[in-house]
Amino acid sequence: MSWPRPIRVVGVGSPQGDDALAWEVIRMLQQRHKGDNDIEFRVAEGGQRLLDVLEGEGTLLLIDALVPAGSPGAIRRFEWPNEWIEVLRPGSTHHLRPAAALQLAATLGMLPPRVVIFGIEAASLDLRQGLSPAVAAAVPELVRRIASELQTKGNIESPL
Amino acid sequence: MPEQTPHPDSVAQKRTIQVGALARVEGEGSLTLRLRDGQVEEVQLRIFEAPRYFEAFLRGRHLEEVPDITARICGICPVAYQMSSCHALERLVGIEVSGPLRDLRRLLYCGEWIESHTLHIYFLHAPDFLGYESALAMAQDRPEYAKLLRNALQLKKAGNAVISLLGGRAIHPINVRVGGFYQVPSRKELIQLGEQLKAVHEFARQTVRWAASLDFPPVEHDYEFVALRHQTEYPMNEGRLVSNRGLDIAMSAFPDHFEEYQVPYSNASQCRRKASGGQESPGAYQVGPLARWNLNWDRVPASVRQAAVETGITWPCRNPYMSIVARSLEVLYAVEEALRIIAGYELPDRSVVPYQPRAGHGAWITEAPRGILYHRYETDASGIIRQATIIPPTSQNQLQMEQDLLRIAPGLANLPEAEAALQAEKVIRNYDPCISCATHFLKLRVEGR
Repeated sequence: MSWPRPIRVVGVGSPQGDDALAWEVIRMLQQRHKGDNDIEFRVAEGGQRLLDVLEGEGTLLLIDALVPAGSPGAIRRFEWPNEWIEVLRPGSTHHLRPAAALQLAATLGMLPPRVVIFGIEAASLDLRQGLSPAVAAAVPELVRRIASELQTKGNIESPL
Repeated sequence: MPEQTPHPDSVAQKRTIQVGALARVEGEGSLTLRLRDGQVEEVQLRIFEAPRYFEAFLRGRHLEEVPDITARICGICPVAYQMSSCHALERLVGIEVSGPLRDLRRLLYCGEWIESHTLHIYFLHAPDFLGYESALAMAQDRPEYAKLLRNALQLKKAGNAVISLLGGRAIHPINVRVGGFYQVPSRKELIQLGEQLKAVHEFARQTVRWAASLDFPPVEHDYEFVALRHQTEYPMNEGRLVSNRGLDIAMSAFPDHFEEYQVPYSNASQCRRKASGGQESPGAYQVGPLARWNLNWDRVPASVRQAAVETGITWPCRNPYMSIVARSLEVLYAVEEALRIIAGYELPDRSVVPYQPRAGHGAWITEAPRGILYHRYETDASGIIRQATIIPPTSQNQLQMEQDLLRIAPGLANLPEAEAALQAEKVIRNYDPCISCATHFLKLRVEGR
């Protein structure tokens, strides 16, 4: 079954260190799909901004950095809801994490019917400039996988 | 979570109540209350978020860079930082932004008030009055609350849309500059924005009625409320600094009447009145929506004043819990003010007022969602920042928050830890503190029973 439209691809993270991997993935996907009006690319600096782009329809592809767990650069794919994703109680809207934002959106009936989460395991979530070598090396592969799914499941042609 | 600290002294009847991580506030902090024989010995609102050094970052940078740097101080109220920066620096270089550019700035500020206030009203503060741990718990429990929160998100999104259009993006805007904007919107773009605001106007009115219908603890305190006051407008970017106790000064005289000081237990500076404003709480004063509304309710259009009358609350109001109603009135005002500005918008001849850097100093105050935000800068002849001072509203409210906690502390002495922590957190959330700005969660620690 193909993905419902509209398709939104949202990268979540800050511009620092490995947390910025989603920014880089979105930048590369935007380049690849330049001029394609069937798909919307966004960056959201945290869960609160993610809530702003959810309209309860279509497909959401979410890209985020995964907490380091010994395999930096490893690519993971989850369908929401997923028991492996921990929903932490938000302390503030500054700290509303993507999973908590998805849970709130689901409760409010604002979550798109199809949510797919792609992640790359970070080497570190320390504040610093630029991606770690392991994450930087994994980004093009994740872009390729997402473009492939957009083509096969989203019926969106990949020009490259 | 609250922590009970076992106390070895069984004779002295001491108790420490600690809120280890204050929830539903913007930032990280903790609270310690020390009690001896039921009497409060000490209240410490600790902010342990690391110092952020923005004032130091600014030194050596060109004044043109300042609004983009200060916008990074906060993800919730970046416009406030940009506005205070721009006005202070414009004062310094000797220019004034007027006409449509001034209106656009006011419109941008309306967007931030709508966004920031709506977030606090529905997602941070409402659970206190309705008896839930979080907005999520509210939505999960009752469908009508889920509907309320959906509508709240639409209202907040209308505020975001204003910031996105005028600021270039919804978070950390990039289109604001000293002297005006990099780009100004077309009339067509503003008309489209107006449609989005019209769609949430009725919900903003409903928000006032809903907020006023909540149950409030029957308390009143003798606060000194401090806010800007403008000759004709509800204050955002301009005015004199006034209080209900006779303060009436030019904003540049702020350092003559207020002082920042360090406390050993917190990473954020606090600010107090030099001459004791309150007899009940020396040095403490309150800024923010309740202060602004109490001092300026005669500056809103009849439609908003009528909404305030229909709340049944006597204004000015000294019940800190009713700050949620003042906040909702400001949201309604901001929606109506935004629509007024959009209706009268004429494309300006230019997007920026030109200026030449010069050596000097300039200070300004604007009304951030949480209260007055003071900026002062000194530059050399080429426009390089030599000194910067930024005093956010949460730093100014901290002493008043501690004083409010002192008042309730004796009543906490015999409560279970979790209940004591919740009551203390509620007091703090009345102020919508942005601890991130002031230097993040609260820990309540009560020592001695």
